[in-house]
Amino acid sequence: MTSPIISLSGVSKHFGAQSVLQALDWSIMPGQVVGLLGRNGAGKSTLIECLLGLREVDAGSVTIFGEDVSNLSESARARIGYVPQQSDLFEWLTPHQMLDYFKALYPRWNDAKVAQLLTRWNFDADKCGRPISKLSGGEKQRLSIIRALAHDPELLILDEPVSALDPVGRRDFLRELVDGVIERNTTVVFSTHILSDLERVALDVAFLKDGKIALEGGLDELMESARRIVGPELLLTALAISGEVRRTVQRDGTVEVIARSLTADAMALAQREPSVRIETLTLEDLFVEVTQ
Amino acid sequence: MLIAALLLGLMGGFGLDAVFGGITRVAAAPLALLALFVWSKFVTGAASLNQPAYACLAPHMNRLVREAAVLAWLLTMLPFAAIAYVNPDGLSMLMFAITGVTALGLHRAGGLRFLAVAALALGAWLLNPDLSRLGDLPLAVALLLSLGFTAWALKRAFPRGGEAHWSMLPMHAQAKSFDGIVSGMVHARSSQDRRPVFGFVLRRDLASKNIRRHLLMHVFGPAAHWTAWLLQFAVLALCIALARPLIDAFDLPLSISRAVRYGIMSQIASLPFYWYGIAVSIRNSAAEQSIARLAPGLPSAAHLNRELGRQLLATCLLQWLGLVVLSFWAMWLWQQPASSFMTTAAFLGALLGTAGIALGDYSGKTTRSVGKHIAVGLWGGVLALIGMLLTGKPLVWAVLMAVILVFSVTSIVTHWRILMAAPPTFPAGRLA
Repeated sequence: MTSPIISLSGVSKHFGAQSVLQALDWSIMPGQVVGLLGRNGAGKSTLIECLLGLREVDAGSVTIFGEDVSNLSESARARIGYVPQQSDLFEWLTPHQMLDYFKALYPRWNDAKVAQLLTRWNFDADKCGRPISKLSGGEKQRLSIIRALAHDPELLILDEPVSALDPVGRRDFLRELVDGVIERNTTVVFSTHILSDLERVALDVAFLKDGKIALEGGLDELMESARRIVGPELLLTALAISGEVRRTVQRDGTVEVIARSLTADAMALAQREPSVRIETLTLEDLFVEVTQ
Repeated sequence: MLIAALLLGLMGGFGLDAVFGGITRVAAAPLALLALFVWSKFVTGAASLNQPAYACLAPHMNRLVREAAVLAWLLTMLPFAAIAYVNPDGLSMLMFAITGVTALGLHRAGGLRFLAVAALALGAWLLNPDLSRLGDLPLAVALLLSLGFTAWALKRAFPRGGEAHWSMLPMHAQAKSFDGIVSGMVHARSSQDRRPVFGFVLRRDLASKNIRRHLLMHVFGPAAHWTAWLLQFAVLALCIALARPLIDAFDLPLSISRAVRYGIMSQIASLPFYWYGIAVSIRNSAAEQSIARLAPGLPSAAHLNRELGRQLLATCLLQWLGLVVLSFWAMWLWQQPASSFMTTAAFLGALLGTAGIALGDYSGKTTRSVGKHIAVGLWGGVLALIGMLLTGKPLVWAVLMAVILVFSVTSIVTHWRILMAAPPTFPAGRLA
């Protein structure tokens, strides 16, 4: 049986009185491409930082490649690529100097890929010789992505990697992610708010809410099976739905149930009662419903 | 401050100059500090108000800010004017105050570089340091230049939009905290100075076999790297080497040697700020440290603090040793008396203790008292002064020196132990 690349068990993290992660369990298997979703302030960046060992957890354990993240070995670190949310990094260096700096730190470095990405993403000689502080936000983010991809990582963690990119930049990045990374069976975890990008790339999604992974699964499977059931309280109260994600009662007495999949009972009820209707959900609907 | 100024003015008016001359001398330093504080606070606030969009679009706002700045500046200058009126030596001080106070305050507005202005004031003073009357031409010219500069600087510090105004915004942000000011001063200096040598040093470090040792300090940026002060030391060394032969060869005024001595003294006095600048750089580069923590070529979490501690200590000690060599070399060239050697040694020894400022627990809370470390340096200064008063008694000096060195070494060892016991430094401030 294959063991997970990332494993979080009972992870809790507090900032003062504020609890960000609460006994969170999560595993990511080799080759998985997971989109991490959650509202602003849900703790996505904190979760990513905890799973990389960049923050100490208050309780629980985190392993990457079977090693405790608090003290990863050189070989484990060489297999990880990370694009942080903040892209204005190493601003006192030029792009060439920054890439040379990291090339010296990694045992494996794909010079051809770096050259190809620099050319494709319009980093000409002039731009490569300019301090990073003089580049635009989008250029800095592209450079951060090139740095993270340059050593052909087996695990790539991206924290909102396209937030500063324009539509062309996003399209180029997604193409590279699909053709150059995912096709190589790289494990990818990335958080984003741009759901259309996620739909193009991710095979799996995980929703973070109240410090836990509230919903997780294959994107296609979730889109095909997740439904919203709307009807009078009287009819839906007694209806038990397995895989129920959320149930809300509106002021007019209408009940909304978000379910991961429909049961035969629910389908029969909808066929029998005209006041009960079943609606399909888009990823945006699902995001709103799950994270509300 | 205003009341103090009026009182001093009245004293002068009643002919009590002789009696209160001493008082004005004593009052001058705290008044100057107070004036600096009030003026720089005002300028920081006024610069924040004079944002490019408001300065352009809000009717009359830019004009009101400039008028208020002129008024505030005049009020700040009152105590200095009163001192100048009472004290015959005060005219030089007034000129210094005009340029120095204005420059420091306006530096906080992001409009100017302090160094250029200090050079102007120093240059004027070097013309003839003994002048004490307004009627003397060089001083009068210098005073007029100072006033002209002030008018120009005020206009420059509060622009009405435009590219220059936008480029001042990062400096405005920096000027709002002590960390920001120190970081801004060190960064500005280092980014200008280190370009010629930086590319060479980085290339050399990248080719080095011991990558762990050489590339670690690059994570914190230029201000924390030893190249930040290399050029200043080189220029200072050149000045020390050339000053005496040039004065002798071309019969130049001896006061030029004072400039060299002030250069050394300013470097010595700024040591704790340099080291504090390193601490600020470490705290400000947490995002870079996240990447570095995952880079296999840099020390693992278990070994990070030890290697970092070594690098930081080596950087600080190297800089301190450089200043020791420069100071004693200059004193030897200028044939200074033994008491000068003793005092300088005591002061340098006391400042060594402030190297602990660069060590410590960076993973947690970010507050770090620079005052504590400067107090250590001042304490050493007091001891050095006592030592100077007891010159001719090498035994007393030796005892004082030993006490200073024990205190300094203890301070460094204590901070070293804190760093070793702390969680891994990278990324800094995460446990705050």
